[in-house]
Amino acid sequence: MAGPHDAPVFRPFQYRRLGAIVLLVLACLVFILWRLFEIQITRHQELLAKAQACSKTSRVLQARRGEIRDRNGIIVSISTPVKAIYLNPSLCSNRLEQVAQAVGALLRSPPDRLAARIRACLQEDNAGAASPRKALLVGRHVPVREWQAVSTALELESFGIRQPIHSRLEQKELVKLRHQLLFAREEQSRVYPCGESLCQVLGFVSARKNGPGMAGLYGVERGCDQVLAGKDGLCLSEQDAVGNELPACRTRYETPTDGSHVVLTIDLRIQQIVERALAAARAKCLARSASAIVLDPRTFEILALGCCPGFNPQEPGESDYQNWRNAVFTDMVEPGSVIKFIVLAGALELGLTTLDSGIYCEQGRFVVNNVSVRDHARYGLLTVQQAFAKSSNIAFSKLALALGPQQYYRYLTNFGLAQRTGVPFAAETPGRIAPPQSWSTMTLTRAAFGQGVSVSQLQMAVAMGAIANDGRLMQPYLISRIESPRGQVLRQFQPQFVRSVVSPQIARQVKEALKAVSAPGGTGAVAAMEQYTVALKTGTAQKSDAHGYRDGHHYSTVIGFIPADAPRVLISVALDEPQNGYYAAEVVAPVFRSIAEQIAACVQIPPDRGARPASGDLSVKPAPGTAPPHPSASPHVPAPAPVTGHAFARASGP
Amino acid sequence: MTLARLLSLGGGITMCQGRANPFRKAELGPLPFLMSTKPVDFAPVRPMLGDGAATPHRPRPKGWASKIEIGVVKTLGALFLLAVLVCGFGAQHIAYRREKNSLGRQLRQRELELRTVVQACQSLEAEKAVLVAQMPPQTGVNLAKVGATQRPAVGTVAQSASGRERKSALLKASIGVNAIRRTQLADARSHAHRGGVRG
Repeated sequence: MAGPHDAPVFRPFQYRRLGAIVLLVLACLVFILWRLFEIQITRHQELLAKAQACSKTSRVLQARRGEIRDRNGIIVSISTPVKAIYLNPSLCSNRLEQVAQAVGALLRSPPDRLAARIRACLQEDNAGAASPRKALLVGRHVPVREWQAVSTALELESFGIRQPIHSRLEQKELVKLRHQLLFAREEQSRVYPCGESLCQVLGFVSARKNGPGMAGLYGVERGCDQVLAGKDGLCLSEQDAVGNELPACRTRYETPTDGSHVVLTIDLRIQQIVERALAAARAKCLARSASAIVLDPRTFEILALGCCPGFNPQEPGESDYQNWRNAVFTDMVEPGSVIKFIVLAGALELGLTTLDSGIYCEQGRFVVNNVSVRDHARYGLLTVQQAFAKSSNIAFSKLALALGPQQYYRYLTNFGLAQRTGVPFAAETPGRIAPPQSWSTMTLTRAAFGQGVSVSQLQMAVAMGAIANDGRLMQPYLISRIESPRGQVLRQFQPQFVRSVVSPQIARQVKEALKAVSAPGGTGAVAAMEQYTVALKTGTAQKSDAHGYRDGHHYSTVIGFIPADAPRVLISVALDEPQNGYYAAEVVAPVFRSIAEQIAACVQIPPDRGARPASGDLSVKPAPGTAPPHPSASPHVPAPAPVTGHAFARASGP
Repeated sequence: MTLARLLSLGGGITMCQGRANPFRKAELGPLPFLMSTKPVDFAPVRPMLGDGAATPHRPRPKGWASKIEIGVVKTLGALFLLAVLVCGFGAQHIAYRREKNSLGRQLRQRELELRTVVQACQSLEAEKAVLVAQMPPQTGVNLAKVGATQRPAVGTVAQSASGRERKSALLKASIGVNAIRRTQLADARSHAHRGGVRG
C-alpha cells in the first residue's frame, strides 16, 4: 500500500540547476585535463627546457693544471688563478662616460677606449641584436687580489651621482652599478718562473677551444697535456631568481681532479749554464742560432737542452714562431765530421783496421771512381787515430769504402740514426738516410764525413752516448717521473737499454780516438781541460739547399763527454751559420769547454787528472809537397802499422 | 498506559516522588512486573490516530539528487581533510626547503671562502716559484750532485745583475703584488729553505 511519502518528490527546477552545475564542473574538469595533457605531454619538452633554463644552472669546476718541475723540484711551470673581468653594458647607458672613467681608472685601462667599446656594444644592441649583450670583456689575467681590490673600490664609487642622494631612482641605479656592473669569471694563467729559460722544452699553452681551461700547444706542455690537464668537475644545480646558485638543490656534483705534476730530468742549474754560454757564443759568432744538449751518458737522462734565441712562453705571439722550435729535436741537419766516430767504430768492430794502422791521406786530394774527396789540409801517412784526431775526410772515405754501404748503413741505424729516439715530443724528426741499395761511391764517401745523411742533434748525441756508455745504446728521456697533486709518484721512468751497438772493447778504442781529438794537434784541442780528460769530436758541415751546398753557410758542432774514461756528462753544442769563423774547432770548441768546466764545477765531477798535458800529442804538421813526419816522433802515438785488409787496400789504392 | 509499561521503556523514565529533587534518581523498589510470573504484554504502542487504524511508518526512499548532495558533501569533506593534510605537509616541506636553502647558502659561503683561500694559496705558490727560479744558480760545495733528488740550497742574498733585472721585469709583469711583501716572503722562505736543506 503506497502512502504519500512513497512517491518521489518531483522538483524540475532543482534538477536543472543541478544539471547545470554538473555540466559546469565537468567542463572545468575537461578543460583542466586538456590543459594537463597539453602541458605535460604535448609541450613537455619545450616547457621543460624553459623551466630548466630558468631554474637550472650548470658550472664547470676547472681542474688545476699540473706543475712542471726540474729534477731538483724547482717549479718551471705552474698555474695560478686569475680572473676575467666583464662589464654589463646594459647598466651604463645613462652614465657611459662616468662608468668608463671609473672602470678605466680601476682596471688601468684608457677610459676613452673603454667608452668607445661600450658605445659600440650599445649601438649593436640598439641596431636590433637578438638579445642585448650582457658581458663585455674588459680585463683578462687579472690576479685574484687585484680583482678583490677592484670589487672593494667599486663599492665606494659614485659614478658621477651627486651625494647625498635624494632620489630613490638614483639610489637604485647606484646600487645596481656598484653590485652588477662588473663581474668576474675564474680562469687560470700559466706562469713560467724561469722566464725564457727552457722555453723550447716546456712549450706553451693556450685557451682550450671547446671548453674552459688550457691546452698545451708545444713542447712538454703539449706532449704531456693529458697528464697535466687533469679532469674538470661539473656542478648541476638550481638557481634563484637573481641567479645565485642554490647549493641545496644540487643534482650532480663531480669534484675536479687536478692535473698531475711532471718532473723533468732537466737540471735547472746546468740548463742556465748552457743557456748563458749559448747566448754569449751566438752573440760573439753572430750565428743564426745556437743549440746544445747535455746528457748523462750512464742513464741517457737529458740534463739540459737549450736553443738560442728563445721566446717568452707566456707571450709566445710576441716572438717569431721560428724561435718556438726546439732545434735539437726537430731540425734535420747534416752532421759533418762528427759522424766519423761511427765509421771508426764499424771499421774497428769488423776488424778492418786498428787505431795504430797507417792510412795514407793522399796529400789532401783523393779520387775514386771519378769522385774526388778533399781534406782541409794536406796529410800524408797517418795512423787511424791521428786521421780521426785531424778529421781527415780522405782517411774516413777510405774506411767507409772498406765497410761498404750495407755495413755502414747497418752501423748508422744501429747507432740510432734515421729513427726517432722516443722522447715524447710530437715534432721530433726521425732524420733521413737513403737506403744503401741506392748508394753510389759518391754517396758512400760523402756519408763518411756526414754529407748526404740527415740527422737531429739529439740523435748524434745519443749515438755518441752509446760510445761513452761502453757500446750500450739507451733511450734518452726527458721526463723523470709523474707525481700526483699530493706528491705520490704515479709513474717513474727508468733508463731503457735499447741495444748494444759495439763491444765494450771497441767502445774503449773509440774513446781513445776521441780523447786524441782534444789532445794538442787534434781539431778539438781548444776544448781540452786541465782537470779532466775530454773525449770529443768536432764537425763542420756545409749547409745545402735545393741548388746544392752553399758557400758561407755552415753548421758547426762539437759532441763530447767528460771525464773520458768514466763519463758523467755528454755535451753537444752546435752553432748554425756562424759568421766570425766557422770551423767547429774555432767557434764551438771554446763554448764546449766553457760549458764543460762550469758543469763540472756545478755537479762536482771528480777530476781524473791534474794539470798535465793531454795524452797523445798529435802535433803532426801537414807539409804540402813533403812527406809526412814519422809518427814515431810523437811519444804517445805508435807508428802506423802496415795497411791490411782487402777492402781497405782497394779503397786506398789508386 | 500503565506505569509498568512506561518503566519497561528503559531507565530514561524517572519518578518524581513528592517534593523530592526531580533531577535525582528515585530509588525504585522492585517493580511488580519484574516479580510477576505472568508474561507481560509488550505489544508496541500504537498511536491512536483517526479511527484507530494506524498505518505502519516506512522511510521515504532517497532521490538521486540527495545522493549527489551527500556524495558532494562527502567528497568535499574528504578534500578538506586532504587539503588539511597537504597544507600540513606543504608547510613542513616549505620549512624544510627554507632550512635546506639556508644551509646551502651557508655552504656556498664557506665554499667561496675556501675557494678564496685556495686561490690565494695558489697565487702565493706561483709567486714563490718565481722567486725560487730567480735565485742565482748554485756552484761549489753546496750543490747537490746530479741525480740527487733533494732540493738545492737556495736563499743566497746576493743576486746577479741579470737576475735582478729579470726579477724587476717579472715583478712589473705580475700586477698587484706588493713588492715589500714579496721581499718579506723571499726572506722568510729563504731562511726556511736553508734550515730544511741543512736539516
